[in-house]
Amino acid sequence: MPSLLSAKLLRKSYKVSNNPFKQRYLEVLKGVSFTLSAGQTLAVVGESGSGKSTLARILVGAEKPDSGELLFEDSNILKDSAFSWYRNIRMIFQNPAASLNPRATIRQSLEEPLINAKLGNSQSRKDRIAEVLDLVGLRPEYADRYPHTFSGGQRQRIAIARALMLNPKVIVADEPVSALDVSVQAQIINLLLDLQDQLDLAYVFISHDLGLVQHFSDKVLVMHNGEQKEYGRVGEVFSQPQSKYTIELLNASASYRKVIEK
Amino acid sequence: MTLSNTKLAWQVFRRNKSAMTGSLILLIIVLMSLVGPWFAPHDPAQQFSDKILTPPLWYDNGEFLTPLGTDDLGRDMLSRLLHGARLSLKLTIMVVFAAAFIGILIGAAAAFLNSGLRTLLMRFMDLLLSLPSLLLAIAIVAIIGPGLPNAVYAVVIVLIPQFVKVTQGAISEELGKDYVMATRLDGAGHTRLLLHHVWPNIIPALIVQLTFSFSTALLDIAALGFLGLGAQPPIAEWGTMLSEARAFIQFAPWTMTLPGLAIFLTVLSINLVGDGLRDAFDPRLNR
Amino acid sequence: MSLLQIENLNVDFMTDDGLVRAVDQVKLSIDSGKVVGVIGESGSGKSVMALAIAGLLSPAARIQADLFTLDGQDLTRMTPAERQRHITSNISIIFQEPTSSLNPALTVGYQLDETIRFHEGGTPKQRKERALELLSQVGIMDSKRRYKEYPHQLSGGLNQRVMIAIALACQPKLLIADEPTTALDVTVQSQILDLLLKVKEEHNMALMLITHDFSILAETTSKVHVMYCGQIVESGRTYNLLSQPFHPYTKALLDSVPHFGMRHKKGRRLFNLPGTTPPISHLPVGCYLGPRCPYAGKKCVQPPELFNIKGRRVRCHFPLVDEEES
Repeated sequence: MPSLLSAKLLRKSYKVSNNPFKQRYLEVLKGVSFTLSAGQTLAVVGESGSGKSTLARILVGAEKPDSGELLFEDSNILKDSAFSWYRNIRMIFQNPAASLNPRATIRQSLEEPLINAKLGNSQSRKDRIAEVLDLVGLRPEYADRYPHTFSGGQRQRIAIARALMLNPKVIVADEPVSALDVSVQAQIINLLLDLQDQLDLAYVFISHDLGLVQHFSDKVLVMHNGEQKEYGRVGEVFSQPQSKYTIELLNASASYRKVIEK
Repeated sequence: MTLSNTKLAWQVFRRNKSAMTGSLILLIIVLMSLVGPWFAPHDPAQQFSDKILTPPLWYDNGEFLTPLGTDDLGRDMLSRLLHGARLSLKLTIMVVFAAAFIGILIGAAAAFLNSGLRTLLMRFMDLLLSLPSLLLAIAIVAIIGPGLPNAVYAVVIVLIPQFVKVTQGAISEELGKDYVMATRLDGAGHTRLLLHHVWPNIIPALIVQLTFSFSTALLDIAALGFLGLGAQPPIAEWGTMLSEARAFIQFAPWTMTLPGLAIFLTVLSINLVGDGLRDAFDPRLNR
Repeated sequence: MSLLQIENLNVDFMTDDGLVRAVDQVKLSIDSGKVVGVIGESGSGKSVMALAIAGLLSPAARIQADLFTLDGQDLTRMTPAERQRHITSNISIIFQEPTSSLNPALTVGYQLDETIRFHEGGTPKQRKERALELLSQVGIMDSKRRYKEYPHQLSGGLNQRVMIAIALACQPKLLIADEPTTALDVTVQSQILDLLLKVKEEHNMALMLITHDFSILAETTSKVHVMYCGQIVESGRTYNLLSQPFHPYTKALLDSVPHFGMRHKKGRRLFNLPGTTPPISHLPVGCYLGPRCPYAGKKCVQPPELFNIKGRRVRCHFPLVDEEES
C-alpha cells in the first residue's frame, strides 16, 4: 500500500530554563518514525509525559520538530512552506467543550476553515455545513446553536464535523473519547469507524486505552519518555511484545473478560 | 433552548437585586443629565444677589423658585447640579473611552510581543498602577498645569494601565485555550484569530473593567476639581461645587451635601452595576 | 451483622428547576473485610451517594433514609453532631484528583500529622514515627524525604498514596474510594488498586470502590451495584453480574467497551445505547432508561420496582433472564 503520511526520526526538545548561562533542554521526542496509508489507523500509546501529545501537534503543523522528516504523499511538508496543513491533516481534541469557541455558533466554527480556504459563497458554505452535520449524525438546524447547549458526545460530533469540512486525508485524534461517558464513547468510536469506511480517512489515534486501540487500529506505536519503544501491526505487538515497557503496559490493562474467562 | 451567552448573562444580571437597583439609579442620573439642562429652572451661572444661601424647600424658609436652595453667590443649586451631571458624565465617558481605546490597543499588542519586551511593558504598567490613581493624576496636572482639559488628559493617562493589564491578561488567557489552537489549525491568521475569535471572548472582561473605570474617572475628575486642579469656577462641576462650598458647611450644609450626594449616588450605582456585570459574566455561573 | 446497612436512601437538592433527587431509594450493605463496587456514568449519582454516606454533603442537601446503621449503631436516631462524629471516626474517603485533594501550601508531613493528632494524639515524636510508618505502609519508599515535601513535588500516583495514608490515619472501618485511579496512568492505576486491596486486608476494613470502569471491578470486588440516574438498577455478585447482566443498562455498559485481550477484529461496530443520560432535573416518566432502551415495552411507562431474581436485585420490567430458567 502506498504511504500517505510517514515520519522519519522526528525529534523535539524544549528549553526548560530561561537562564542564559544554564540552558537546559528536555527531550520530548527522541526519534519517532512510522508510515500510514489511506484508510488505516495508527494508534499512539503512552502515558502522560511520553511525548504523544507533542507528536500530535507536530503532525498537524502546530509545532515544528528540531529534526526529522514528515512526508505527506511523498513530499517533505516540513520544508514546503506552501503546504496547507489545514486542508489535509486535521485534529480532534480530547476535550470537545474547550476546543469550540464558546461565543461562536456551531455555524461560525464550522465555517472557519471554508473561509480561510476562500471556498464557496455563503450559500454553498451553508450547504456544506448541513451536509457535514448530517454526516456526523447531527441535525442541520443545530448550526445556529451555541456549544454549551450540547452534550459532550454531540460536541465531539461537532468537533469531528469541523475536522471534516475541507475533506482532509488524515485526522489526528488526541484521546477523542476519554472525556466521554462509556455509552457515548461507543457512539463516537462507531462514527469514526463509519467515516473511515466512507471517506477512506487515515487516523492517528492517540489513546491510553489498549482495548480501544486493539478494536480501532491497524498499527500501534508505543511511546515512553519520548522514546519509540515499539512499532508494528496491532495483532503482532499485542501478542508478541518485544519491549519490557510494552509488556508492563499490557499487563496493567485489565479487562473484566480476562477475569471472567479465567 | 438556544440562548447566547449574552442572554444568559442578562438572565443572571436581572435576578441580581442590587445590580438592578444600581441600573435604575444610574438610568435616572443619565436621563437627568440628558434632559436636565432644559428643565433646569435657571441659568447655572445666574446670580440672584437677593437670595444668597437660600435653603432648600424642606427648610422653614425655603423658596419654591429655588427648590434645592442657592449657594453663596445666589446661584440655583438644582440648575447647577443638573448642568454638573451633564458635564461630569460627558467628561467621564470621554475619558474612559479614550483610555479604553489606547489601553486595549497597547494590551493587544503586548499579548503578541516577545516575552522580554512584554515583561518590560507590563512591569512599567505595574509601576503606574502601584501609585494611587489620584496621586498620579495630581502629579501629571502639576506638570502640565491645572485646568479642565489638562485634568481630563491626566485622568485618561491614569486609567490606561488598567485597560492594558486587563486586555493583555484576558488575551493571554484565551490564547492558551484549546479553541484558539483549533482555530489556528483551521488556517486562521493572527488578525482574524484576534478580531473574530478572541475578541468576543474578552469583551465581558473589558465591560466589567469599563464600568469600574467609570467610577474611578468620575471620582478623580471631581477630586481634581475639588483640589482646584480641574474644572475652574464658575463652571458647574460637582467637585468644584464641593470645594467652593467648603466654607459654608456649618451654616449652609446643603451647598456641600447635595453635590456630595450626587457624586456618591452616581459612583455607588456604577459600582453596583459593575459588580452585577462581573457576576453575570462569570464563566463559573455560565452553564 | 453488616458494617454498613442502608435502605431507601434519598438525597434531594433544591435547584432552579425545583427539587431534584440525586440519589433515589438506594439500598446497600457492606460487610467488614469485603470490597463492594459501585459503577455508573457521570450523572448517575454515585459520587453524591458516596458523599452522603461519608457525611460530606453541604447542608443544602436533604438526606433521608429508612435505615442507616454503621458499625451497629443507628444513625437515624442520632443528633447531627453525634452522627458526624460517628461517621468521621468510622469512614474515610479518597477522591479522583489526589493532587487537588491535598492542600498545596502544606507539606505532606504536616497534613498527615494533623490527621494523626486529631484521631490518635501522642507526642510530636510519636506522631512523626506513626506518619513515617503509614507512608511506608502505602509503599512510599523514601518516606523521610517525602514527609518534608509539598504535593506539587510528588507525582499523581504518589499523591494518591499519601491520600490513602491520610485515610488510614483515621483508622476507618470503611474506606470509600471515588474513582481513585481515573486520573492516573495505566501502569500506576494497577499499583494503586493493589495497594488499596493490601491495606484493606491489613487493616481489616471494608472498601467501597466507585468507578465507571468494569475492568477495575472485575479483579477487586465481590459485589457490584450499577447506578443510573440516582437509582441502583442492578446489584449482585460481581462474577454473575459481569458474565450475565440482567439489566439492559448493565448489558449496554459491558458491550459498549471494547475489551483488550479479545481476538483482534478491526471495524466491528460497538454496541451502544442511543442518546445520553438525561439530567436528573428532566427525567423521563416511568423507567428512566425507557427512551434509550432497546428492550423497552408498554409496561416501561410505569416505574419498575427492585425485583429479586436469582439472588440479584434488578430494577427492570423485562430483565434479560431466559424464561424457562426463571
